[in-house]
Amino acid sequence: MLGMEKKLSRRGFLRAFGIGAAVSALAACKPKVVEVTKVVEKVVKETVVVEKEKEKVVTKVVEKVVKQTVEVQKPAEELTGELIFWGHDQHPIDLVATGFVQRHPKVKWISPHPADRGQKFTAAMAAGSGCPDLFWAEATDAQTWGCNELLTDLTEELLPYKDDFHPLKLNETYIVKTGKYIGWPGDISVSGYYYRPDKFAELGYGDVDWENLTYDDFCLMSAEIAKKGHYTFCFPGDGWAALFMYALHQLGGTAVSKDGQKITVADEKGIQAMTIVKKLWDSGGGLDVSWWSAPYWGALQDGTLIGDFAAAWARGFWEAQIKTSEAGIGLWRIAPFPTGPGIKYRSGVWGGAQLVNPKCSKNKENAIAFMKYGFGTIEGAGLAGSWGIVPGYRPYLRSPLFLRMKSPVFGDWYFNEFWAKQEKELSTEFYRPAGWGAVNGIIQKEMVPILKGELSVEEGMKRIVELATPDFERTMCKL
Amino acid sequence: MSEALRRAHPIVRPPKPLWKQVAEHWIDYLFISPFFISFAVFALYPLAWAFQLSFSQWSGYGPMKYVGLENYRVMLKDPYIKQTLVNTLEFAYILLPTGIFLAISLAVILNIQDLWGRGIFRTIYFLPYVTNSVIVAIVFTQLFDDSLGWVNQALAAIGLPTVKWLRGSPWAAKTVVILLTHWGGVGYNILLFLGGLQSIEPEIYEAAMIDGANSWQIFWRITLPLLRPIIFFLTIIATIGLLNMFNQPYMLTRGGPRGATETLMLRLYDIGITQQRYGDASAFGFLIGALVITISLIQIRLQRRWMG
Repeated sequence: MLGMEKKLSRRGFLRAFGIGAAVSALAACKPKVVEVTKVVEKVVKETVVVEKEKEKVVTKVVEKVVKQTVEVQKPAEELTGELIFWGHDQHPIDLVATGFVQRHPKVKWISPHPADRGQKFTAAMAAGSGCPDLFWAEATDAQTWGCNELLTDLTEELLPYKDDFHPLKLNETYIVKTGKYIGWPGDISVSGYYYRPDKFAELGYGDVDWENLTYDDFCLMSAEIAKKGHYTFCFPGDGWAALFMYALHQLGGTAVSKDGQKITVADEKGIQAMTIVKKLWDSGGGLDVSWWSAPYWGALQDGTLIGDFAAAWARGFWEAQIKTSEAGIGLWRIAPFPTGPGIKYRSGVWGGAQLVNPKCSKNKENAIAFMKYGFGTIEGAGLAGSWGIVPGYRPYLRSPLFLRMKSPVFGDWYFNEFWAKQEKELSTEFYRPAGWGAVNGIIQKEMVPILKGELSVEEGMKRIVELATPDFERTMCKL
Repeated sequence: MSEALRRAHPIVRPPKPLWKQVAEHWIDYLFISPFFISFAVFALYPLAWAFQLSFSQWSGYGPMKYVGLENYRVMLKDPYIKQTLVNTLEFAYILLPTGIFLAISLAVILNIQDLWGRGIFRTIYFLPYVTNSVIVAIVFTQLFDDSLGWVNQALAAIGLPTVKWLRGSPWAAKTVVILLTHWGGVGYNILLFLGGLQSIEPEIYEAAMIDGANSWQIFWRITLPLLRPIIFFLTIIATIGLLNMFNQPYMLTRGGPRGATETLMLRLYDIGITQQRYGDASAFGFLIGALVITISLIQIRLQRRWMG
């Protein structure tokens, strides 16, 4: 028995392993066996039993989708080469591109929708290569990049169009430090109060005079409606800086001074704006869910949330969520923001990006031609506007293409007539320069103690300025 | 030189210079070089570059501006540094003892030889550790959602008041972050303790039982002292991990409500990634590193004393 117990030595193991590996390698190198597949036809007889359905009476809400036809004119000039755009999926700019490419068929449109676009764009600009030709930039980002001289100067291109845009949108593309315009105004981001008149009527508020409604009246009404289990706006329990920015805009205030050198949220208008927001909070009429989260849309669909403050571009999201009669399809309307003492404007801005061309772009001529087409012609703006944003180009805002637009959410109501009116309600005193993002972030973080009454509005706003100053000073555009 | 003298003073050859040693063993060095090359490229160089960056002001583009110790000064005066430090230490010193206690208790139970379904339980406890933390956080968000969460639905079903877990109360948000961290990490700790428990010789237990020791005495006098090296190792590793805590609060609360769950790493992310203040973020990173090293060194000294 002992003789049979043969131990495998290390050398023996290595030898065996080596032979095994060599055989495997040889096997891997041997010619591939060609498989011949014979195709055999098989006749299959199928008997399909069809059961006749019982007749059912189904009430179906038919969505009325309004299709717009935008006529594309012949090319004005011969452009060639590529045009690379970075933006999110299903972007309005991609719709503009369809018209642009028809005009300039020799231009190749490339739109990859990369994830983490902001970081990639910054990295590409830092490296000086791999940049897109067009980027959809938020106001404060464009201001930061413009301050660092990373974006193409569009002053000469934009000046002939100066009167075609609201001054607020032009301000957002203007860099005080360099005296240059670095972006082409895109979405106007004008805002209003979305609401369901049918629900308000059901709750005993069918005759609200929205044109003259004050914040005090709105808060009283919201408190009464909340008692009945319905909410007139969304106010997340951990704060909502957008409401403060809306109120500040309405009062003719600004969070950061025009030259971007000073935080101004603790001035008289800032204090008044936060007082309005606190009144909204105290009314209890705000639904405490995260903004645009699943519970938010659920509340909107089942009629618990019967209104909210939102930008014009929110229409696309409303259209995606409001599909049934219970959700009020076709019944929604928009009103100007409430008024009150000191209020100068009945609207506000939230979001609202612009088109920029980085200096490292390789197809500048194409990019500028695209900007002029997309947001400097009724045709291009119409294509962008059909997505849901409101291009700021005023001739488009006055055109029937814009004014006669319909949406399933608003039924037969020409909702854009309202937005055209609201455009005139935008402030000329509200700025979002570099550093604004840091201030907005601190307001979001630190507004709850004020709302809960742990700090007075004055103390709270002073504290916000103190806390925001280090971040602001490190992100502002120093003159 | 006489033989006696040679024995008294053996000849000591001077060590060979490094280049000679390398030349002699170049094949050996060649084999270990991939690690050192990748370490130098992906760890050492970025670390050195970040250190240089911590003395500069830079937003990711344009030339770097040398500012000396200014970034460190700004970061030490940051209005959120105190709150984030307190939050981080709070998490670390709640999670550390409770985590070790939980892991030891479960490991002892799972080490019982005739426990039914021992293997299944071990797998179940280890599963969260290998599950993607993002998925785990999504599940927790669903569980603790203020309106639609299962926990609140259950509380409402039995007539108890619901809690705004993630966006309302600071203590509730902290509790959820602690639960998630325990849930994700306890499996790994159990595994380590099980390894330790199985390395204890059964003869020691037998001797103790013969001497009349009861189960509690055996655990307290034999098991726990013999697990000291593992407790020591885990305390150091877990402290480092917890002081660098980011995933759980980022995915559950983004640091809210009112900064109650904002850790040092979340603040670092805000400064570096959101605000693109790379110089400040580098300085802050090195300050956090210094803190972690200091706390770890203190722990090592204290534990060495404890272990005798």
